[in-house]
Amino acid sequence: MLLCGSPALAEKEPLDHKIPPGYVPEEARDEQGLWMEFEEMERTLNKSALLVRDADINNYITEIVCRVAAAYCNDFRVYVIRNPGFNASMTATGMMQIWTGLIIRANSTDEIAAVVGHEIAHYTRLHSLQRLRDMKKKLAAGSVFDLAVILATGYSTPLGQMTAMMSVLSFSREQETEADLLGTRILAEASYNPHASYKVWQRIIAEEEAAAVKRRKPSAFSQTHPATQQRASYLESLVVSTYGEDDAESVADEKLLAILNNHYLFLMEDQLDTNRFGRTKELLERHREIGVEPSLVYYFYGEMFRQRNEEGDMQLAMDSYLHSIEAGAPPPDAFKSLGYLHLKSGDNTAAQIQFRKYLEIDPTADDRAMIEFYLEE
Amino acid sequence: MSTQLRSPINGNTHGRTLAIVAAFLLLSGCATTSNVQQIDQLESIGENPRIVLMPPDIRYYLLTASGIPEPNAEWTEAAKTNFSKALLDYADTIGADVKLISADNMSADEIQYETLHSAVGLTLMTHHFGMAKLPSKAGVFDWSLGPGVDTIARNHEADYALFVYYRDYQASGGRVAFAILAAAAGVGVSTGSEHGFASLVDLKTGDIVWFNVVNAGVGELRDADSAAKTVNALFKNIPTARGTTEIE
Amino acid sequence: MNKRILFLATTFFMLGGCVTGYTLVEPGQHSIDTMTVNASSGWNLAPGYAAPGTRKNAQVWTQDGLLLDRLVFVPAVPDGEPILLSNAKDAALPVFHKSMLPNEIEELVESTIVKFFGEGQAAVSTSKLRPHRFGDHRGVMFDISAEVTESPTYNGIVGAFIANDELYIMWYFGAEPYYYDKHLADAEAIISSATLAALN
Repeated sequence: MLLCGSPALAEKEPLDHKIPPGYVPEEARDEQGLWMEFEEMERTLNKSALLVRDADINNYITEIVCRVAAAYCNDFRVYVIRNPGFNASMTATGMMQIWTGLIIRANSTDEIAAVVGHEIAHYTRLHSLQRLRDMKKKLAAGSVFDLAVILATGYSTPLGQMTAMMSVLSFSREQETEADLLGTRILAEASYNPHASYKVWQRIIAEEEAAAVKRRKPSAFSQTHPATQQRASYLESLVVSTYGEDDAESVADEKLLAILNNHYLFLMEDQLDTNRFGRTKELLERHREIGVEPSLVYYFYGEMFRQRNEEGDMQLAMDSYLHSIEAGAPPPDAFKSLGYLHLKSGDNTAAQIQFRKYLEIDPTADDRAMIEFYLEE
Repeated sequence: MSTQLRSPINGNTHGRTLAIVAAFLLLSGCATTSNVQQIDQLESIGENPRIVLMPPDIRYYLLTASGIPEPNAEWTEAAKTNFSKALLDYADTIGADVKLISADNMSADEIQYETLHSAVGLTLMTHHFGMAKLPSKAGVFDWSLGPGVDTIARNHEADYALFVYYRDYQASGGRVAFAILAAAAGVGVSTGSEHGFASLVDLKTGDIVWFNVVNAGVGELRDADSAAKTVNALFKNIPTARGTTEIE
Repeated sequence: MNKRILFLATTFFMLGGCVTGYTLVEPGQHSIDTMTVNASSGWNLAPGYAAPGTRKNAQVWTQDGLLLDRLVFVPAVPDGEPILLSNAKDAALPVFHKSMLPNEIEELVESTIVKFFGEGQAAVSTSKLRPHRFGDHRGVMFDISAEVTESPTYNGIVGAFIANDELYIMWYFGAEPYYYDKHLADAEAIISSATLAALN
């Protein structure tokens, strides 16, 4: 049964899905054209070098999507993409992308579910089609663009397709509000914590504040989901008035922790490559707080301080690596990095001790030639 | 999407599509040649030379008054169907068998070579057909996908692989009207365009043995009769089983 | 690298279309700022607009075209500066420090190449870090691999040494399949041959 929420009704009745599960466009030619472009995009995505194929990670994410989607579960194909930015997106055809950056920024599975719910709401409310139609009206006559490029930009795809017309392409305020409302509702209906919906926004704001190098322009997610303080606050009051105060126990989220612990090096190395230390530090604090394996977190603290290399950082890095080692399950590179730090401070003996440990633990290390060079000195 | 993700070094990042469009625009300005034919006769291990058609990258758009090209599923489907049919007919005239590969059924190798071919195609548009010659080449056309393509040869028992790229922007009535108004005001506005290329790769060596670029006025793929003409233009000078006597 | 071709193509278009700009690199000894390399035949020097973000004294060479293979030489990067340049204030480009050890050089290059392709557009990894002598200078070489969206995978090698508190760095990238292998031996020989011009 199709329940339509017209703007007028939205004020009186709860916001609902506009399309049924299994929806395929029948009549509108522009909608069919849109679907075709997205189908092409999906084919390209399937071939992407940055597609994450790990079964563990994919199962975890797919489970969340299916639970939030409920009856719509079979409408979506989920793609986990290797991208350290925070984002998730959905096309009109049900192709959902989740970036690895979302996984390392969530404090709980509920927060991932909140973002998923928001995207599903964009889908069931047909916002992309609406946007195409709005865009045709809005844009002045001008140069010729490949539509896939224009729309792809709006859908946060890492497929290298961009255009300068960002502001025209963001969802309208009304659409964002709809996605917030409906998204939160289906989040709660799936028995996830609805308070996660505004916590997500708060974290984006917190990360931006922690950033050493502020973005000149908002991040990918912020561009299509303007995360103002007002919005986080409005959602918070809405959720509190609808569902009561957040009385959920702060317990470690076993499933999220398992994913983080088992894939931490993979998930965090791209973040480290961004060279954005304020943000990386903010994420490491969260991981420490929620209980990610300390050996792993402290190893990355070490990497972060070492690469940041501000005054006092060398010592902080050394302490972090030592902490990682003490915690019992350090990655082999913790010894290597510590060795290099000793070299830097002129302590060759200490360096050699760590280098030897490194080669002992990882006999197949591909940089053996470099390490042995220092051992022979 | 990702203003966050654009390369800070290059400024703006744009996809392959924009790059190709730009390359075509560049080409129409000062193209030297638009066709390369390295061999004039197709060879074969089998009876007839066998060509495998990589999924053609063909799209039709409606160019609306606002300037936004609207992808048209109906036209694109028709174009792809007509193209395949016209190609099969055309293949008869050149004495070759054609096998179609479905986009949903590509092996990892095929995908890799499709991607590489895009990079090579763009390179050709810039350095061979365009004015930015690479002096070390001394005019020699020796671009190749490499002998690793023999996996495709074996998968499909084929001698050659054919790659096709085509874009067609059809102006809507509103667009034409707008163009007339604009012209009256002294402003030039595009009323549609079409461009494409086709490339033939020898699957024994990976060498590109034939490449043709088309820009404007090539025809119409949306109906079967016109499609035949378009295919003729797209495959100008393609080597045949018997050997062509026409040399450009 | 698709983005670079767009840059190239649009620049052509803006210039009215018909500019070449690539020049032949004669085989033999070549000076790139204070660095000298021994070039094999077949290389072309790319014009500035084909390689935006390159430092003024750097050079970019190619045999088959920048989307297929490229050899980059960046001599004399001063302490505190990045290897490639950007106008974007929020780029967060990593910078060279004269006290950098081999592992840090490796990280510097990895992060730089990620930024070059665009954050989120590429996953870059390095391996096989090993010592290498560049003339009288102790340096390093390592392998590098870049998985890039909507592009071939680019594999390559990097050579680097520090002299007079400045970084001398070179890398080769070739597209997979075929192009990486095609030019690897030549590129590796050229990179290995790098020395600092003798001071007079």
